[in-house]
Amino acid sequence: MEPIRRTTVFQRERTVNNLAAVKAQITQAQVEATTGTSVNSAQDAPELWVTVSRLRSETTDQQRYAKNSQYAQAILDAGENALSQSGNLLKRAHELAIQAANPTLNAAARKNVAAEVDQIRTNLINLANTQVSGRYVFAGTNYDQAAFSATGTYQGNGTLPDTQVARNQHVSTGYDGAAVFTGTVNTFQILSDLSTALQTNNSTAIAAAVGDVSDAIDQNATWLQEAGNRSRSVIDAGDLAEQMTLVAQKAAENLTGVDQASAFQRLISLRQTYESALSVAAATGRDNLFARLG
Amino acid sequence: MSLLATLSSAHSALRANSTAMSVTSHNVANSTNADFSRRRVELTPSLPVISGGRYVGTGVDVSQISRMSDRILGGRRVVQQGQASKSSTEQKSLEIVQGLFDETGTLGVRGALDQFFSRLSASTADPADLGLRSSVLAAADQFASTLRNAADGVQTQIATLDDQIVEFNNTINPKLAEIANLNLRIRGGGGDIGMGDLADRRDAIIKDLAKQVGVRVDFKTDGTATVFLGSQTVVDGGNHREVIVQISSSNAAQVLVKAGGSGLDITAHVAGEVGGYISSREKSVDYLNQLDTFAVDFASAVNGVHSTGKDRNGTIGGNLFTYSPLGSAAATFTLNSTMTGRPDLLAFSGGSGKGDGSKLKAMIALKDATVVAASTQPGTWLSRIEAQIGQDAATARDRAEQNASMLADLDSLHSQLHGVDLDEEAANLVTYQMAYQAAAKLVTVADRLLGNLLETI
Repeated sequence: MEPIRRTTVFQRERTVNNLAAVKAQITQAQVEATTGTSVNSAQDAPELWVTVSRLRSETTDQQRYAKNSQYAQAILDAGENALSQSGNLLKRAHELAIQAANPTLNAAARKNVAAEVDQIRTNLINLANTQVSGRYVFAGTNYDQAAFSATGTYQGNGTLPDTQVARNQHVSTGYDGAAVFTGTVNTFQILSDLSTALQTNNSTAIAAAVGDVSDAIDQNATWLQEAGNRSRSVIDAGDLAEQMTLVAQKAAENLTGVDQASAFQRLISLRQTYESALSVAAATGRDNLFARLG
Repeated sequence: MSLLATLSSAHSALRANSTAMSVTSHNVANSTNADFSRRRVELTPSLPVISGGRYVGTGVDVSQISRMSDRILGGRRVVQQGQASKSSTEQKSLEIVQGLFDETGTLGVRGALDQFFSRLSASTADPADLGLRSSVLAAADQFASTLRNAADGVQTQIATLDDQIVEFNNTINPKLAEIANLNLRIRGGGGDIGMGDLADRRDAIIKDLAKQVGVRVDFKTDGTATVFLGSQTVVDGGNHREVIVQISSSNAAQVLVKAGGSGLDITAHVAGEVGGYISSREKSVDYLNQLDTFAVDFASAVNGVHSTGKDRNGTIGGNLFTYSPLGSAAATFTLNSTMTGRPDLLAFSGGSGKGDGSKLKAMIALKDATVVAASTQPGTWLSRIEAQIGQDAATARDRAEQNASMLADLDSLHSQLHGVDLDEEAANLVTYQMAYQAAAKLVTVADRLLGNLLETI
C-alpha cells in the first residue's frame, strides 16, 4: 500500500480552499440575512429573472394606481360635494318658488324672494367653479380656467380628463360643466327666469318656474348619482391596486425570499465552522517531523 | 579487502549521502513551490572488484537524481489550466457587465423604465400640472441616462477587452520562444538535477501559457515538450511558430497561428484568458446590439406618439428621445435637449385643452405594446437582456467552479505524487545523516587501523 503523502503545497491548497469555501458561504448567508432574498442579481436566478422583473414592475404599477386613485378620489369628492350642495340650493329655490307661487303673496314679498333666488344663482355659479389645487372640476379638460363666467356662460369644454387607476381602467376625474349645469336643463337660466318672474310679479311665470326648478333638481340628482358611481369605482380601483400590490410583492417574495431567521442561524453556525477551520489550519501547519528534530 | 579499499568505500558513502542531503535540502527549499517536482536520489552499489578470488564491494554511487513527474498527469493539468482560466476570466468579465445593469435597484435600466411609465401614469391625474410634468421629464432623463450608462459601460468593457486581447501578443510569443529554447537545453543536458530545474522552469512557463491562451502539451521521452494551440503545433523541440492575436476589420477577435505568409484561424479552439476575453467580448457585443435595438425601437415608438401630440402651449410636440445614428444608439440615447427644463413642452394633449391626456394615455399604452423588434414589450425586452447576462454569468460561474475544482483535483494529485512532504524529507535527512556519520566513523576506524599497522611496521 502506497504511503499517504502530505505535501506542503497540498496542505496549503487544501487549507486555503476550505477556508475560501466557508467564507463564500458566510458571504451568501450574510446577504440573505440582511436582504431577506436569495436573488440579488439576475445571475442568482436567471431562469426566474423575467418573472421577478415583471412582478417588481407590477408592484411599481399597482402602487402608482393606488396613488392615482387617491388623487382622483380627492377631485371626485370635491365634485360630489359641490353637486350635493347644488342640490340643496336648488331645493331651497324650489321651496321659494312654491311659496312665491301662492297668490296671497304681494309684489314686495316676491321681490324679497327674488333677491334670495339671485343669491342662490350666484352661489350655484360659485359651486360650478369649484377648484381642487387650482383645477376647475366642472371645466372638462379646460380645467385651468373657470368653468363658468360670472354671468353663467360655460368656458370649459366637453372633453373629460381621466386618470389611470388600473392597467386598462381610466376614470373621469372632471365634468363637462355644460352638461351638468346648462345642458338639457339650464339651471342658471331657470333661476334667472324665476328671479325675473318674481321681480315682475308674474304669477304664471312663477308657477311655470316651479316645474323648471324641479327639472333642475332631477338633473342635479342624476349627476350626483354619477359622481357617486365614479367615486365607488375609484375606491374599488384603489382597494384593488393595494391588494394587487400585496399579491405581486408576495409572489416575488415566494420566488426569491428566504427565511431571515434561519439565514442568521446559518451565519452563526458557519462562523463557528470558520473558527474551527482556522484552528485546525494553524495546528496542522506547525505539526511536522522537522519541528521535532533536535 | 584492504584497509585502503575500506577507506575508499567509506569515502564513496560520504560523497553519496552528502549528495543525498543536498537533494533533500533542494526539496525542502522548494517545498512551498507548487510547480516544483521533488527530486529523488537513486543510489546503487559501486562495481565490485576481485580480491582474493572473491568479488568485493567498493561502496556506493549516485546513479541518478530523478525528477518525479507524470507525463499524462502533466498534460492533463496544462489542458485543465486553460479551461479553468478561460471560464474564470469569462465569469469576472461578465460580472462586470452585469454590475452595469444594477438589476435589483430602482436605478437599474428596467427599474428606470418602470419609473418613467409610473410618472406618466401619475400625470394622468392632472396632465396640465407642471409639477407632474416635471417629474415625467426627470424620470425620462433618468431612464435615458441609465440606459446610456449601461450601454456605454458595455461599450467601454468591449474596448477594454480589445486592448487586453491584443496585449497578449507581447506575452505569448516570448513564452513560446523560451519554451523552445529550454527544450533544446534539456535535450542536450542529460538527466542531472540541473536539467530537472530547467524542466520545472519550462513547465511553469507552459502552465503560464496555458493560463493565458490555453494549450495542449505532449511531453516527450527525450525531455522536450511539444505545445499545441488548437490543432496547430506552436512549439516542437527547439522550433516555435508565431501566434497573432488581433481584432479584425469586421470587429471580431481572432487568434491566428502564422503559417508561411498567412495565418491559420484557431480562435474557436482557444482557451485560457484570451479565450475567456474573446467569449465575453462576443457576448458583450450581442448585449450592446440588443440594447441598440431597444433604443431605436423604443425611441421610435415614444417619439411617434409624442410628435403627434400637442404641448401645454398648444404646439405640436417634437421628439422626446434622441440618439446618434452613428455608433451605438443606446450609448447615445438621451432626452431631447430642447425638452430640458421645459415640462410645458411635453405633448400629452390631443388638442382638446390643457387637461387633455389622450397622447399621454397612448404613451402609457406603449408599456404593454410589442414595439421592440415588433415582437416584445419594452420592459420584457430589457428583462430578457438582464436575464441573459445573468444566465451567461451564472453559466460561466458554474463552469469556473467546475473547472477550478477539476484543476484543484489534478493539482492535489500532482502535489501528493510529486510535491514535497516535509516529514518524508526529514526522515530522509535523518537517514542520510546517520549513514554519513557511520561512513565518517568507518574512515576514523580505518585510519586508526592503518596507523596501528604503520606503527607495528
